[in-house]
Amino acid sequence: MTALDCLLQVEDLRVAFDTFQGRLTAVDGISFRVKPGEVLGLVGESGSGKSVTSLSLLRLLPQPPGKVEARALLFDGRELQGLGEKEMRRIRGGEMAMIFQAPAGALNPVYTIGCQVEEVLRLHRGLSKKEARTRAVEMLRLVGLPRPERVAREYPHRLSGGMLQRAMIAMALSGKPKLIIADEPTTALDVTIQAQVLELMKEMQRRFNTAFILISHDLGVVAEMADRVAVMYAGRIVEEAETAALLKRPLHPYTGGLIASRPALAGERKPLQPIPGQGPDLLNRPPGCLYHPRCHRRREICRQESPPELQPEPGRRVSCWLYAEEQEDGGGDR
Amino acid sequence: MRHYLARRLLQVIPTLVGISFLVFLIINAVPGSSLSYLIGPHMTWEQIEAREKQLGLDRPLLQRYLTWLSETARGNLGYSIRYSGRSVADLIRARLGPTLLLTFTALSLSFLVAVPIGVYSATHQYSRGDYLVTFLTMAAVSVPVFFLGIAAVKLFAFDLGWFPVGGMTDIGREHGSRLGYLLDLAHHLVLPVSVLACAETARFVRFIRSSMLEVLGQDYIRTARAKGLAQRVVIYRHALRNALIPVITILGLSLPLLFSGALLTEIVFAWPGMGVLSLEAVQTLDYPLLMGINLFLALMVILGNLLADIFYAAADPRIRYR
Repeated sequence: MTALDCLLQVEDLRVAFDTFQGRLTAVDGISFRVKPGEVLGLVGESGSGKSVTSLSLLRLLPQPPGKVEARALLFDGRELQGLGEKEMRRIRGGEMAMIFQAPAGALNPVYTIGCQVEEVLRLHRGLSKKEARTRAVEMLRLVGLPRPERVAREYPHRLSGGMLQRAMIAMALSGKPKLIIADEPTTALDVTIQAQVLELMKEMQRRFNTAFILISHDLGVVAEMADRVAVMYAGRIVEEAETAALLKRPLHPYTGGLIASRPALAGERKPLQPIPGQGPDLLNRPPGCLYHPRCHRRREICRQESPPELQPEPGRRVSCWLYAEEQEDGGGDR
Repeated sequence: MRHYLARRLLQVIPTLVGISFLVFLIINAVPGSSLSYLIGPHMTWEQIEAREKQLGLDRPLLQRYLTWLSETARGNLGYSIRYSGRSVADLIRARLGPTLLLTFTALSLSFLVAVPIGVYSATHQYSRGDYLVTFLTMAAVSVPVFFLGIAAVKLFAFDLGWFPVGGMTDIGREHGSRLGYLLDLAHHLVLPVSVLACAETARFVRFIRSSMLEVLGQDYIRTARAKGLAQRVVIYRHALRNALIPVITILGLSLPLLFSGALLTEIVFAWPGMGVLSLEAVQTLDYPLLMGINLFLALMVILGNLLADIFYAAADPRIRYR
């Protein structure tokens, strides 16, 4: 993938927070790319830095206490760092939109659904009040809301979680974004509604060829929609691969652990296999591989040195010492 | 909504009866009587007792209260003893205007001033400006209104001579031009309104600050920013509207505080409102007048709360009364 045909290119992104106990490194030098129309899944447990990554892309993290640095944050050919607040606002909600977890809290309780969708249409599409009103209803119809004229006049507390998330998606699509970041978009929803919302996002992605970054702790959700998956652990990307390849043959022991800890509905019922232990203390990062205290395949070197990023197969990368010997020549950076 | 309003208005009646009975008990627990001030070389005890009998002040407490209640229910608030038999309703009516003018000017001013300060304080949390605001509001709520009033008179009226020492208008102004009269009135209003609004502004600032801080941490504020809205729009359209909802309740609750503050302020500034009237009523134990004034204050407080509830429903779509 060259820099030209990629929509978003993140190089060596670091996010830290200054806290009373010292500096907390939430994201520790991650790099990834998203092609136009592609869906990248970002998977990891709570505290692995997924949401912080997405918020820092849109410059929505409060700074201070946060501190965001990157070698490059290229979006659609432009470097986002150093961009003025005014240009940044044009990108937010316009070219890059976001869908949040828990839609009930993510919509303003004192404005109607229609009003909140219209706001985006007027701001980024330059529509008049009247045009925006008609267009907002069309957007609500597009995301499959029944009787969109009614829904537009309703306040958020009158709608169910699934309907609200559909409205959020309508709002995100209203700015005609090239990239939508969906941060745990289905976590707060019932399982059946989850499937519907995922289906809707997939449909919208195909229809408008919008790229997605789908953030989730749930591999199942990501597997449903993502073309590629990046697995995050303690602020680093430990493995990235095409979705099918990753699920079929996870390389990093943590990815394997994530897959094994998922309950299987069909077939033989085996006891769940949780990953023992907890994520590392981000205030005091242990030396060596951050996963080694929980890893069942750890070696001596894992305790001492951070693993290099390896490319054991084309289109795949993993940061783990297990694959270092297989690649005598390729150790180190890409 | 109409049903709810009717029910709330009906609730006002028992509340007022309860309050008036309590006030009646308290007034009568005070030693002395309305006629005590008549004692002197020209009045004998016998004469006073005869007068008490004539006024019905020698009858049992409950009987007197019921008499008052039944007369009040018919719209007759009785006659003042101190002001030689003038009707209580007339006395209050004559003083009502200036007091309401003072109170509502102070209320609107404190709210209008408090909103931008509270928003600034919340959006600049822990900055130097925020600390200054916190310190000033603390000071403002701590200083009693009568002290602040006297200090203001001393400094701005007496020493600097910028504003009149007291009163509502200069003598003879009523006969001049309308504009001149209004300007003169405004000139007289500045000091008492500022003194009265001071503590209230501070209270509002603190409420708005904490309410704003809570709202600014909500997810929908992040959504609003993720939409690309300007900071100003996020704060004033998305955050402030939500933050003001709890403040409406405070607004309703602050009416009684403002009224009692107004009475004190009026005495300091010789404002021709209900302040001096109620002071004299208390000093001379003028039962009918005291009852009338207290009934009126209670009514204002109840109406303030009712208005707050109605505005609350109008501002928050999640609340609908049935």
